[in-house]
Amino acid sequence: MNREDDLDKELRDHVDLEAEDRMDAGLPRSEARAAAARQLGSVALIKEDVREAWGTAWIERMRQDLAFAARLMRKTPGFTATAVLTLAIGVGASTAIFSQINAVFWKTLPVDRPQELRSLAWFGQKHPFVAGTNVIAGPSVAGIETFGSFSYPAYKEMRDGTRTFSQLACWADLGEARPVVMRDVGFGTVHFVSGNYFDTLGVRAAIGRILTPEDDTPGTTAAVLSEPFWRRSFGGRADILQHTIDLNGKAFAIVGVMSRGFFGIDPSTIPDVIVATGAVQLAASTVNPLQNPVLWQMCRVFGRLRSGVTDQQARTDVEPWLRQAADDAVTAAATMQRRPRENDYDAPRLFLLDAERGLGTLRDAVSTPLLILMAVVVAILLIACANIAGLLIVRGAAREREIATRLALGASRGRLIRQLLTESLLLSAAGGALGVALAYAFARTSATLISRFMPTVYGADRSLGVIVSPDARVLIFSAAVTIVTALVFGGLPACRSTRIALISSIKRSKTGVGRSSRLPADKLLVAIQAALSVLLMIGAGLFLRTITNLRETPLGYDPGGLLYARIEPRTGGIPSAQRAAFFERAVKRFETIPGITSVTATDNPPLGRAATIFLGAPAARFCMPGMTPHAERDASAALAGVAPRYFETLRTPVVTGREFDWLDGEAGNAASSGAPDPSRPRFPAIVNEAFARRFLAGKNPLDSRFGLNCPSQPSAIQIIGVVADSKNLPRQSSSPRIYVPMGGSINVVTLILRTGGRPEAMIPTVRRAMADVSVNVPTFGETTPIELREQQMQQERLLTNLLIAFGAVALLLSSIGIYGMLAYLVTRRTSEIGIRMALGARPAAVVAMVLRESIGPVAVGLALGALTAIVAARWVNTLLFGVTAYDPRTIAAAALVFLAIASLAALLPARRASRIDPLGALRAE
Amino acid sequence: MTTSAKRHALLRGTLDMLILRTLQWRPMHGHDIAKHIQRTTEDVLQVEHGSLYPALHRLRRKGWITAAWEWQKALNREFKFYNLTPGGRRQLATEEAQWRRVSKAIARVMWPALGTSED
Repeated sequence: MNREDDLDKELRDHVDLEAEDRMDAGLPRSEARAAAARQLGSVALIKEDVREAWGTAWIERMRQDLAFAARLMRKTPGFTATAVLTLAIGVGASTAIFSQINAVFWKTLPVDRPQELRSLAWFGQKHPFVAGTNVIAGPSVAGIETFGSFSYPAYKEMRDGTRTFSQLACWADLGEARPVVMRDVGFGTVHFVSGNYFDTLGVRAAIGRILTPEDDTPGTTAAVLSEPFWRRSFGGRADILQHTIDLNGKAFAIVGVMSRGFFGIDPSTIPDVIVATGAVQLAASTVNPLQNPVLWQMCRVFGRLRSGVTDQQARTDVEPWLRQAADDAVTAAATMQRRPRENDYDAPRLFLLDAERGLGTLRDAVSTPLLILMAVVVAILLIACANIAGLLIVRGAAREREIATRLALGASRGRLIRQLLTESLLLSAAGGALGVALAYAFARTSATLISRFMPTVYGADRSLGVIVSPDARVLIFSAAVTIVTALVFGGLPACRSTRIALISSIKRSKTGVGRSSRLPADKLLVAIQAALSVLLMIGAGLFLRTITNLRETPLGYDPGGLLYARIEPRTGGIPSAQRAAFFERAVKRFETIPGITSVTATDNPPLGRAATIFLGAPAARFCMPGMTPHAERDASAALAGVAPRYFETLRTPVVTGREFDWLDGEAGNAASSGAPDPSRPRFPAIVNEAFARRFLAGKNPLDSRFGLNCPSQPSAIQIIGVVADSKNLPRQSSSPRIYVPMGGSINVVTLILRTGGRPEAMIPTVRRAMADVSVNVPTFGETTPIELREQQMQQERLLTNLLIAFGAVALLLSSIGIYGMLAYLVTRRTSEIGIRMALGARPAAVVAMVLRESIGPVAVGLALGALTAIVAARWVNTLLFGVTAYDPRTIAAAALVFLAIASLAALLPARRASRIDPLGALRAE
Repeated sequence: MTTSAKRHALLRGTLDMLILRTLQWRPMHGHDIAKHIQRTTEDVLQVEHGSLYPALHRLRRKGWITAAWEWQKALNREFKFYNLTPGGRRQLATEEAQWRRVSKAIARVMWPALGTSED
C-alpha cells in the first residue's frame, strides 16, 4: 500500500475510533461521526502538512503544476503549436551552431594525450634562406604573422638534435600547386608524412597498419587511406589491403585505413591518401625537395613534448638547431645563386603552439563568421522569446479572472508565479527537445554548411576534418538555452499577470473601460523585436552589396565565357622534352572546335588554386642591370608561363609591345636551330603595368632587360610587351607580374578557352577534342573562372543568404508581435473606441489613434537597431567589400522596409477598430 | 471526558516530547495517543488532532519512532501502531532535561521567593 493510501486509512481509522468513543458516550451515530470529523479538522490540510513533513510536498505541487500546464497546452493547440515550433527553430538553430563552435574550438584531437602536442612556427624579418616566398603562412602569434612550414633539412636538424621532444614529425599537404592525380579518382588530397607521424600522434589504423619509419625511404610505395576516402572511392570494401592506388602514374600498395574521425593535425582538411615523405618526388618538380635547404614549404612540423618539459625549455632547446639550419641554407642559397653570402639577416625565432585542438587554421578562418552566425541565431531566439512573451501577456490578461479567483482562494503570489513559470518551462522543454532532435537530424547538413564557410585556403571542395556528434557540452548548452528562454519569455508575463487588484478584477467585465492599456512591457517587447529585425536586415543589406561589389569589381580581364580545362601530360607518358610541342598541338587542336573563339594555356590561371593558396602566386626573384643591392632584395614578382593569345583570350589589354607567338617558346627556339632571328629575342617576357611602374620607372619598357638567373645573367630576358594590371581576387591589389612563354617543365597546364555560348556546355566537346590529341592524357578539373570566383565568395554568399533568411523570419515575427499588441489593445479598449465613435470620431481618426500606439516602440526599436549596427560595425568590416558597416543608405533602406511591413501589420487591427459598431460595443459592456 | 473544560493550546515543540513520553509506556496508535494526553492532563492540554499526525510523521522521519500496521483481534481491524526507538528514548531524555531547565528558569522569574525547586 503506498504512502498516500496509508495516510488516508490512518486518518479514517482515527475518525472511526473517535466516533465510537462519542457513541459510547451516548451520541447518536450520525452526530458522533460528524463531531469526530469536525474535531479532526480539514483532512486535506492534514495531508498537506504530513506531506510537508515527508519533505515531498514540492513534488506534489510540481506534479499539479505540470498536469495543469499540460492540460492548458492541450486546450489551446494553436498557441501551443506556434510557440513550440518557434522555440524548436530557435533552440535547434543555436544548438546546431554551438555544436559547430564546440567542434571547431574545443574538441581535442582524437589522438593519444593531445595536451602534449605542440606545433612549430617561426618568424624572421628577413629570410634569405628561403627561396622567394616558398613558405606557408602560419598563425598570428602576439601580432606576429609567423610562418608555418620548414625545409626538410631544417626539420631533420631539429628532429635529430632535440632533447625536449620525444618525437618531431613532418607532414606536407602540397595542395594544388603540386597536384597528385589518382587514376580513376581524379584529383585527390595527398599528405606526405614522416615515418614517425602516426607514432607522434599516437594513433593506430582501423584496418591494416600505419606507416612506420621503415616506410620512409625514397621510392617507398606504402599508402594509408582515410576512412571517408575508402568509403567513397573503394566502396568500403573489406579486401582493401589487396588493392593498390595509382598516384601520378606510380602504383602504391594500400597498407592501412584510418579510423573515422581521423584527420591528422589540421582540422581544415582530411587527407584522402597518406604516404611517406620519401615518396614526395612523385609530386615534386626537378629538385629533390627533401634535400633542398631553401625550399621552406616542405615540412609542417609538430611534436610531442617529453613529460615535465616546459614550452620555454623546449624552445630554447630546439631553436639553435633551427638557426643552424637557416644558416646553412643561407650559405647554400648564396652558392646556388653564385653571389656572396648575406650576413645580415634575422636569425629565425621559434614559436611553439598548443596543438591539443589541432592547428588553428580552421579556427582562425571561421571564428568570425561563426560568431556572427551565433549572434544572428541569438537574435532570432530573442525575437522568438519576445513574441511568445507577448502572446503570454495577452493570454495572461484573458486569464485575469482565473488568477484573481485563485489569489482570493488563498494561493500565494509566489505559488502562482511558480505555476505560470512551469507552464513556460513545459512549453520551452517541448520546443527545446524538438529543437535538439532537429539539430542532430541535420548535423551532417550543418557540417557541410560549415565547410562552405572555409575560405578557399586549400580548395573549395575539401572536406572538413571535424565531425559533429552529440557531446555533453552541447547538450548542457541546449538545456541552459531552453531554461533561460523559458524564464525570459515566461518571467515577465508571470509577474505581470499576478500583480492585480483582486476585487476590481473579479468584478470587472471582460472589456474594461477607463484604464487605458498602457502596457509598457508590451511596447518594450515590440521595440526589442523591431531593433533585432532591423539589425538583421541591415546585415543582409550590407552583405548583398558586398557580393554585388565583389562580382562587379573589374579584375583586369573578362571572366565571362571562359572555360578552364587542365591536363597533366606526365602521367600520360609524355616526356618533358616533348611537352612544349604537346601543349602547342593541344591548343591548336582546340582552336578548330566550332564555338571556340580563342584558346590559350598557362600554368597559373587567374583564380586558379595555385594563385590563392600560398602567400601569393609563385614568385620569382629577378635582377636588373643597374639595380642597387637594396632594390635587388625587393625584386620579386609573380611569375607565370603563358601560351600565345593569352591576353587576347582573357581580354586583358596589351598596353604596348606584343603578345607571344609560338616561335617565342622553347619549341620555337629549338626549332630554329639555325641562325637565331635577330629581331626575335632569345628569352622574351611580358610584364604588367605594376611591374613597369615599380621597377622600370622612367625607362622604356621595350628597351629593358632583366634576368631570372641572378646574378650570372642579369640581362638575358628582353621585355617585349606590357599588359594592363589584373588581379585574382577583388580584395587583392595588383602586384608586379612577369609572363614568360610556357615551357615544357610544367606538370599541370590549364587550357583556357573563350567560348561563344555557355562554357559548361562545351565540356564534352573539349574532352573529345583532347582525346584526339592524345588518348592517354585526358582533361580534368573542368571549371570556369566565374565558378571559381563564386567559390571564393562562398563565405559572403552564405552569410548573405542566412542573413536574408533570418531577417525575413525576424520581420515576420516582429510583424506578428505588432499585430498582436495592437489587436489586444483594440479588444481591451473596444468600449472606449465605441464611445469615441458614438461621440463623432471619424474612422480615419480612430485608425490614426491606434497606429499612434505603435509608432513609439517601433521608432525606438529602429533607432536602437541602427545604433547597434553602427556599434557592431568593426567586427563585420573585414568581411565587407566596397561598403562600410555604417553605410547610411543600407540602414535607411532596412528601416524603410521594416516600417512598410510593420505598417501593414498595424493597419489590420487599426481598421478593425475603425469598424467597431459603437452601439454594439457599448451594449456588450 | 469533560467537554466544557477550558483547553489550552499546546506549545508546538512540546507536542513531540509528549508523544515520545506517551509512547514510552507502550506502543499506541494515533487516536490512543491523543486520548491519553487529553485524559492524563484532565483535558487541560488539547492536542489539535490535526497537528498530531504531521508530528507523528515528522518524528518517524527523524527515526525516533517506528510505525507498523498491527491486527487488533478485539476490534477485528488493523491499526497503525507507533513504537519508540532507542534513539527516541535518548531524544526524550534530552528534551526532558531541557524542559526542566526551562521551567526552573521560568519559576525563578515568576516566584523568586521559592528558591530552587525540588529536583
